[in-house]
Amino acid sequence: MTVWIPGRLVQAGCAVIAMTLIVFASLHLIGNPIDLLLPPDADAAERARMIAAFGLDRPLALQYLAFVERVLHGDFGLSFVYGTPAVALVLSRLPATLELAVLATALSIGLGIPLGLAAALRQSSPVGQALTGLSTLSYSLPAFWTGLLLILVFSVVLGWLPSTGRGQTVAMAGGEWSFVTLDGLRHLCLPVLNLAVFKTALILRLTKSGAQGTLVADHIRFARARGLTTWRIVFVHILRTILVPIIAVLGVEFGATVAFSVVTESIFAWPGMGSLFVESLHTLDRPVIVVYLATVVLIFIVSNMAADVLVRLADPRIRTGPL
Amino acid sequence: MDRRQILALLAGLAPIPLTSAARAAGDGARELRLGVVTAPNSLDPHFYQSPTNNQTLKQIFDPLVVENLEGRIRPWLAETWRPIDDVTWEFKLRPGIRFHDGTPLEPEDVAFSIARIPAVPNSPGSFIPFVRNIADVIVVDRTTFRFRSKTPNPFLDRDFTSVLILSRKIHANAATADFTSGRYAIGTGAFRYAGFTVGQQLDLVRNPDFWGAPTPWSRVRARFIADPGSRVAGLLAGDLDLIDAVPIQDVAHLAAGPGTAVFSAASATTAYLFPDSTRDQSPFVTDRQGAPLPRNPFRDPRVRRALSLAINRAGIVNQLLAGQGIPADQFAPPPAADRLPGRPPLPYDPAGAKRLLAEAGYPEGFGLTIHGPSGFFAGDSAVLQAIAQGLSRVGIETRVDTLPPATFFGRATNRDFSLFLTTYAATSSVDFLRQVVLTKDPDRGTGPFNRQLYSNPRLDENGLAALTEMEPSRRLSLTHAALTELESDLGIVPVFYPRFNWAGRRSHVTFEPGNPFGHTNALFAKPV
Repeated sequence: MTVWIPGRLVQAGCAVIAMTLIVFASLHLIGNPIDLLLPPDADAAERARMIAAFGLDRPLALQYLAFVERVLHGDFGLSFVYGTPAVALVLSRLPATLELAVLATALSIGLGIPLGLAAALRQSSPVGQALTGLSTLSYSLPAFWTGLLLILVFSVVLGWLPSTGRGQTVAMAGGEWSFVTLDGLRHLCLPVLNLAVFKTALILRLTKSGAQGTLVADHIRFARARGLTTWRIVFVHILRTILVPIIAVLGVEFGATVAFSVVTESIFAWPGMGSLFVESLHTLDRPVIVVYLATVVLIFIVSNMAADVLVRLADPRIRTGPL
Repeated sequence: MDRRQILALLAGLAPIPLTSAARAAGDGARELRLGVVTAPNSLDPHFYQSPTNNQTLKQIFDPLVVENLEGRIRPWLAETWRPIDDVTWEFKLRPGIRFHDGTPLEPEDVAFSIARIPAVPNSPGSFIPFVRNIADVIVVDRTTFRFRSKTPNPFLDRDFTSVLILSRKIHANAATADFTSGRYAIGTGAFRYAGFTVGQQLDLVRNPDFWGAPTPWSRVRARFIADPGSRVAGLLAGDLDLIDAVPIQDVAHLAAGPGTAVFSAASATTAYLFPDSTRDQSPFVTDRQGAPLPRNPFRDPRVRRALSLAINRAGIVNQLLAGQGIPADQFAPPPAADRLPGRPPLPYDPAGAKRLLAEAGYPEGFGLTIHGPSGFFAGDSAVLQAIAQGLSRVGIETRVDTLPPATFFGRATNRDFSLFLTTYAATSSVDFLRQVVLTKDPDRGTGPFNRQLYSNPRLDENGLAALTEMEPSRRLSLTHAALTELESDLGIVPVFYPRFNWAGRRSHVTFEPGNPFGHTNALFAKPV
């Protein structure tokens, strides 16, 4: 295990470098931020000042080399729009996105695994059928639609929960967190639910199909024959067997949740990295786009690594390998 | 968790009826909760010249003078002002104005503010153009000062509607970040800073020592909600009292709803078509079979006139925009100063358009692709489609290509298009001329948004003279001469003037915007 972690880090570095090249080239093709930011009262001198201030007066290759040089000194540049360091800007939005993604993942595990087991054990009963149908439905609903529906039902009609925004935050561990306050939790309910809908359906289906396959496996039949309780069979023998693919998928999915929280953050006016990213795309704020994507790449790689470690812990066969 | 916490949890989850949001507040404690589409990028009033920053910061800080809804300049921090010679303007401040911390406002603070603007680093769009021409600020007495400009500028007072005044004593060493953190967000305005989270929300409280009539709102919370559906839902859920940029499809039901009302106002914005009328060949005009045309039809004023006659402006405004606009009669919209008087809406006459095209040598019409932004202003893609249908009806076989603003504006500036739709906003006809239609000339500072490089010597002559003519009646006749030339030459083709709108809780708030920029500003909101 000690050997493959540095290997992964080298991979991560390569992925980030490739990503920055793609971002520089593609944003250059899309357009320039000057035409998007320039005030209507601006004159030619002001336009020239902005182009020079953003370093856009130089050829793209030189702009990229200057960027690489600065990055090697730990400087990812200033946001064109905010005029503040892009890294600090993205990191200040990271806690909001992380608490959303972590809680949504936890909720989807907490709901998806028990419901998936129930669907597998009762596959021909109305409950099992209903669960399978529901998971297909929630798998195919677009997030912006479910988001507005949740707001409509829980905020507009029932008036139980706030429609948008983030609640009261508390400064902890270098960031502002809202899951520790009551107001924060109330504001978290709907966006977390919205983000968890798709993932819950995914985990439910993984659990169900895994459990269905395992139910007829030999070790389960022997366990039954030995007279073990259903409880023990399901939660020890079946669950342990099906956990490995679920963990592997969750590793990929966590990164995807962070990346795809963009839609949920926009609908719920959630001040996370995702809404900052959307805003930065609209203004072609290259330094922020680069830092956001680098952060997402890193989260993808770290969560995959974490999943690999967990899979190795859960399944001793992988640790030894085919040696 | 003890019992109190459990009770609090239950109370937190209990339904909130729509009316309780008024919080049974007495007259002393009125709260206003705004849902605003765009978020300011800073609280430094000299950092970024944008409608979003200006609407936000004009609640905390003040300019010397303001524009009203008719585009006239009104007193604000300055009580009176007048030009005393071609390059000197005298302003008198209202006496006794103080910043939120008690520091008095003095003429030296105006000089300080002007000097600070070019020194603010990393601005994505600076206020420099407003102060570049100021050579000197001379303090006459404790309330009087004079601006000396490098060249005559008859619009100097208008430039100072956008420059917010800081204190040389408070803000001498204030960096942009110190404003955003709240530390130096100390102005003379009707509201005081009470908290700001970038991209999320701004909290303000009433300034009890405001120099004008104190605001009726004791607290204002502006939340930044980009998604239109979420803003409307927030209003309907009772989480918000007032929202801006109401989606066109929601205007009718929010206006008719029992608990909501819609407020709308003229804007200083014009949506216009910009034809490529200078190049011999243009990239997106073809014959009807799609082969490139040897000459550019838009060079002929008759073709540009036909273009204008083919647009059903009343239909666009009434049917596509649900009445949220006014058909255009000239380039500058009604709130702008010095418009041509008594002009009827530009005519819709497809038969006349066909005749003009035939006269110009295009009896069969030609092929065209028109471009426009999508998601830049309300209804933009639909308006472009309607214009294309109108053109196709008179024989100009038109295809539509809408682009995201991020791509569109850069390409428009590169002269990639033959005809495109966009908007411009200003409160004076001369600004429309100087920024969009006068010949692009970096040395003179004219035509920075003249993206098609339109050039008309007669228009330039009168327009340039108007820019520096200090005598009001001569300036007006020069302006009108330039506008009349534009009207007959149609270097740009005006389409309509969009309206801004807001929606609010009927029982709680009414909204009367004080300027034509669509500013969502708590000063314009009144409690019911």
